[in-house]
Amino acid sequence: MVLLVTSDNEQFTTEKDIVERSVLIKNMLEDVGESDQPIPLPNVSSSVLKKVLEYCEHHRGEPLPTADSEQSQDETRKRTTDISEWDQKFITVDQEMLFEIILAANYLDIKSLLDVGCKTVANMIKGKTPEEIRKLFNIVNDFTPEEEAQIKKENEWAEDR
Amino acid sequence: MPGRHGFTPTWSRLPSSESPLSHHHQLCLNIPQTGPIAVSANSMAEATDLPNELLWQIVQHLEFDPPTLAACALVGRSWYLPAQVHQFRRVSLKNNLDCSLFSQILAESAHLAQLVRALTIQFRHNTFLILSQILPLLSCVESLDLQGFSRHGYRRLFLCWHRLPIPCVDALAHLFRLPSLKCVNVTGWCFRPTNSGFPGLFRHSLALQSLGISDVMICKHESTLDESNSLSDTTFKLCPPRLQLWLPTTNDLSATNLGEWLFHPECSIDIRHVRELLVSEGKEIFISQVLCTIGASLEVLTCSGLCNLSHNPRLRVLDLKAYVVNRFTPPQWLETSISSLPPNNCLEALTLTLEPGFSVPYSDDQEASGYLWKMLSVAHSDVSAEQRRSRQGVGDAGPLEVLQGFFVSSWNRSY
Repeated sequence: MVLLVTSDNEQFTTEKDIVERSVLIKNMLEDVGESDQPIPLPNVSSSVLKKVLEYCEHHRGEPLPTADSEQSQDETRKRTTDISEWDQKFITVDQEMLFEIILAANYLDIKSLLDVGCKTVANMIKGKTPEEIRKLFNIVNDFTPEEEAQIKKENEWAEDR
Repeated sequence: MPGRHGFTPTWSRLPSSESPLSHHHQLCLNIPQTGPIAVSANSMAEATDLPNELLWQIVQHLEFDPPTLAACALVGRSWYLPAQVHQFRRVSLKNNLDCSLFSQILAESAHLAQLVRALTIQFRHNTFLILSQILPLLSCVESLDLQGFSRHGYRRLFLCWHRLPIPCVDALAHLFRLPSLKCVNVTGWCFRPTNSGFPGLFRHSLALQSLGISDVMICKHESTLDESNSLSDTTFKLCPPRLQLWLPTTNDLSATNLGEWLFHPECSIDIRHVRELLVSEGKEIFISQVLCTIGASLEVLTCSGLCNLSHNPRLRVLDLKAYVVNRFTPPQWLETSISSLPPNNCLEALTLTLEPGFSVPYSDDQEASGYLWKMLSVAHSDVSAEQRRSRQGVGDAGPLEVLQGFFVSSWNRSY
């Protein structure tokens, strides 16, 4: 069993093969060897870690992506926004939690969870106008009118493609 | 080179994928700022709190959605570069309209030229001039697809390589010299049998890993005098490590021509060092001639027709593609091809990919898998149990487990 301590000092005890979906934790466990020392996760809150562990538990036993498979994915660039049914249900959370999960997946180095989070955000963006995207994510337009005009010209390339 | 309004993003290296949460508020702005970027003041996570590298990861999932990428580019400074990198990664210049628009865009935003990685060009007589202006601006092209044919009704007309104007050939020579260029495909061209002009382009392509040739014709009766340009080099031999040949069986003339060209003693392409070969369709005699010429160099073969593998003792990976209509009925050529492997061959993986013409019942998996088992035993009929073990590194596992290991790892039924 592995003991994890979150940023709000909550403790989680979980099985090694579940938590080892995180490359960060897997490496930490390898470094400390057989030890009962708790693993501090100062950048993950308890509510987010609970969700992350739920994901890891559901996907336990599944093969971890290898460097080769990641490379081939990059090469073919077959990026899709398809998400499995369970993952879709799992990631149906409010926007704040969604970004927290993405940040945690990045920090803990859980590639598959990071992909699910990023695909979900990509799906939220699909088909929206720049203004709608800004509104959705509370972003301020920091382009000058001249810059905006130049980018609109560049974007003519995307028309009818 | 700045654009008209001096708007040029600076190219900064992305944070590594191991970036911890300390990047939380470290938004990497790749575009010079003119004003503050909105970063949430409260503790709630918002899109503006995401590290720049995560924004890149999100946008890459939109690579095949150009309208959304265009919208993303206009959201704000931190969104601009991730969006345009994907919008301009693949550029296809198929007619005069494409070329004119792309040329205008590069005139305003020269930095976009660096983003083009995969370039497809369909050559037209009315685009030669503009292409010779665009191509020298591109500096990071990795994959180049040169299409010479054009359609006139049902006919496909092939463009003669030696009829390309010198400025156009010089512009192409610039692309071929790029250290980033890894893959070149040529389709629908007409070459001379001893053409030194075209392979001469490859002389400086030191990073080239893959050459694809489809549908070429040879014009045998024209003078070769006009080929004596700076790119001609009769002593140069192109030795691609990866070769892809597409030979439609419906076009016998093309296949015969390609054969004559490749096997002509003065041809500037030397296929004897090819390690990976992909052949789509093609006449048996031609495929056999290619395999025989490559001989012991060949390590990986993907093929969809009868092939004689008796000259390829170092073949490690064999991927055979069969077309299936309604039910799985193994074509005779599959077994004939596999059984032609020499004794003590080096085969490590055998894949059978079925391309169904109609919906194939799922139960056929059993039948197909049984067939693959049989083929494995055919392929390894002369390999001892010790050799099988050493290849797979599975210690004391017997030959049965080893073969099962092969099967599981390489069986790949694609629908």
